[in-house]
Amino acid sequence: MGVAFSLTNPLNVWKVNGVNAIERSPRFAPDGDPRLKDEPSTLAFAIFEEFRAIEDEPHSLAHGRTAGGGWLGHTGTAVQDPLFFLLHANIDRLWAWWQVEKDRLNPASEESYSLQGSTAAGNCSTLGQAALDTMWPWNGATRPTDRCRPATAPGGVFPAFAPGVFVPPQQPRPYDLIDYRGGASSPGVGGVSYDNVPFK
Amino acid sequence: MRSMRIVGVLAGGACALALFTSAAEAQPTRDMLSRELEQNMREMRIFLSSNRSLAERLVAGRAAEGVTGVDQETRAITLFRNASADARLRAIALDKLHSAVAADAGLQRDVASVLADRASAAVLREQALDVIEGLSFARPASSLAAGTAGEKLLELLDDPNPAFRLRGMALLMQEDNEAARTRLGEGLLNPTAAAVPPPDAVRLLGAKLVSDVLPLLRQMMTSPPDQATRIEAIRALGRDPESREAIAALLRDPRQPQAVRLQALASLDANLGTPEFIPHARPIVGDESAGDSLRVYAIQSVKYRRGTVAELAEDEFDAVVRAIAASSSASAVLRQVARGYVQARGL
Repeated sequence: MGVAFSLTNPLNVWKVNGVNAIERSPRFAPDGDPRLKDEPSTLAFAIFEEFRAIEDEPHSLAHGRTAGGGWLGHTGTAVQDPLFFLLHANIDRLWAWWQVEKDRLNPASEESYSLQGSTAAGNCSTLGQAALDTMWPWNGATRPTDRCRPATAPGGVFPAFAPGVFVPPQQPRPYDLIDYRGGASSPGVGGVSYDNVPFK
Repeated sequence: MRSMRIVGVLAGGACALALFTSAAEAQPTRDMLSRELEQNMREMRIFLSSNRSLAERLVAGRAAEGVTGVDQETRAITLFRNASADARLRAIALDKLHSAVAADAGLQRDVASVLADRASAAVLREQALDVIEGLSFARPASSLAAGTAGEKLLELLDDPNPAFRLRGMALLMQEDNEAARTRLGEGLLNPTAAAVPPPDAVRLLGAKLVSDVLPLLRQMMTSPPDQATRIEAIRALGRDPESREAIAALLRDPRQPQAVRLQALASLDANLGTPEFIPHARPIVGDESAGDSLRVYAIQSVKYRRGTVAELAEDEFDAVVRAIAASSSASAVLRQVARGYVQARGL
C-alpha cells in the first residue's frame, strides 16, 4: 500500500494515472543512513568520463533504495512520485557543483562532456545525449519519421524566459546546457546556479 | 560533521536558483570537502587492509562512504569475490561497488549468483538484492530480468525468506515477467502455493491492469481473504470502468469499514472528472456519521480540483462545506479543512 500522510497533508489526496497514494518503501529509516556516495566522493572525480558514474550512484541507487519496490524504482513509474523532482534537482546540483570545482564548463571539451559530436543515425540508445544532438520533445521529432523517438512530442519548442536571462535555444542540445551559468555562450547575461554551489 | 548526504539534501529540497555563493565563502566548503574525502579514504584503507582486525574493518567499512579510485575499487571487488572472507566484509565491499557492478556484466553475474545461493549468509544476499534493485532503474529488462539475474530472481520466488520472495517478485513484475504474473495469480487462488501475501499479490498484479487479471481482481474485491487484499483490489480496479459502480456501492455502504470506504472514495477520485466525482463526494461530506477521514478527504480533493479561483457559482457542495466550517459540532480538523476550502473558494 502507499505512503500514509496526515489527513490535512495535500499529498493525502495524491493520485496519478488512475491510482491514489504514493507507493514507496525506503530501504532505510526516515532518519537513517541511505548509504549513498556522498558529496566529497562525488565531487572528487576529475573528468566527465569518470564523473558520469553518478548516473549509477548516487542517482540510480537513490531511486532504488528510496523506492524499495515502489514507483521511484522503475523508469516507467518514477515520475509519479513527487520525490522524483527533488532527487533529480539534487543530481543537477551535484553536477553543477562539480563543474565549478573542476572548471568543467567548456562544452567543447571532452573533460567537461565526453559525449562530443552527434549520435550516428539509427543509434537509438544514445540519441539526444551527444553534445550536438537536439533533444526531444523540444525538437518535435516523432515516429515514424524518426524511429528512435516517441509517437508524440508535447509542449512545443523550449519556452523563452524574461529578457536578460540566459535561456537555451528553442531546440536545445546538451552542448547548449553545459555552461548553465551562461558565461561563455552569453557574456553578461545571467544564468542559473544553486544556493550552495560556489560561484567564482 | 559530514556534509549532507544525498537524501538528506533531497528532504531539504535545496535547489534554489540564482543565489550565488562567493569565492571567499567557497573556500571553507572546499576545505571541509577535502577533509571528508581524506577521512573516507582512510576508512576505506582500514576496511580493505587484511592486517587490521575484523572489528576494526567492519567499523571502518560501515563508516566509509565509498571507494575512491581504481585501486580501492579493484581491492573491494576482490574482497567481494573472496568466498572465504567474512560475509559481513563481503557485503560491505559490495555496498561500495554499485557503479562497478552497473558497468561490468561479469560482476553482475557474480552478484546474481550470490543472491541465488541460499547457503550464502543473509547479510550478503540482502546486499546483492539491494544492488540489483538499484541497477534495475537504469538497466531494465535487457540486462537484468531477461538475463542471468532474471533467472536468479525467478529462483527467489521459492526462497524460504518471504522478504526475498516479495522483492524478487516486485523486480520481475516491473519487467512484466509472465512467469511471475502467473505465480501471483496462482497464489491468490491457492494460498498454500503463494509466493507473496495476498495484498502484495493484488498490488503487483494491479500495477498494470491487463484484461487477463480483471476477473481475479474483481473476485478479490468482492470475496477477498482479508481486508487489506480488498483495499488493494479496489485501488487497482478504480481504472476499470466496469468496476466503478461496485466501488461506488462500497463507498455508500455504512456497514463497510472506514478503510474500505476511504479507498473506494480515493479510487473514484483518481479516475473521475470533477463533475462525475462530486456526486460521490457530496453525500460523504454531508454525512456526520461518515467519519473525519472520509469527509476530510472529500473536501480536500474537491478543493484542489477547483483550485483557488472562485470561477464557479456557489453550488450545493460549497453550501455543505460552508455549513461544516461554521459548525461547532464538527471536529477541529474537519472545521479546519472546511474553512480552508471556503477561503480558497472565496465563498
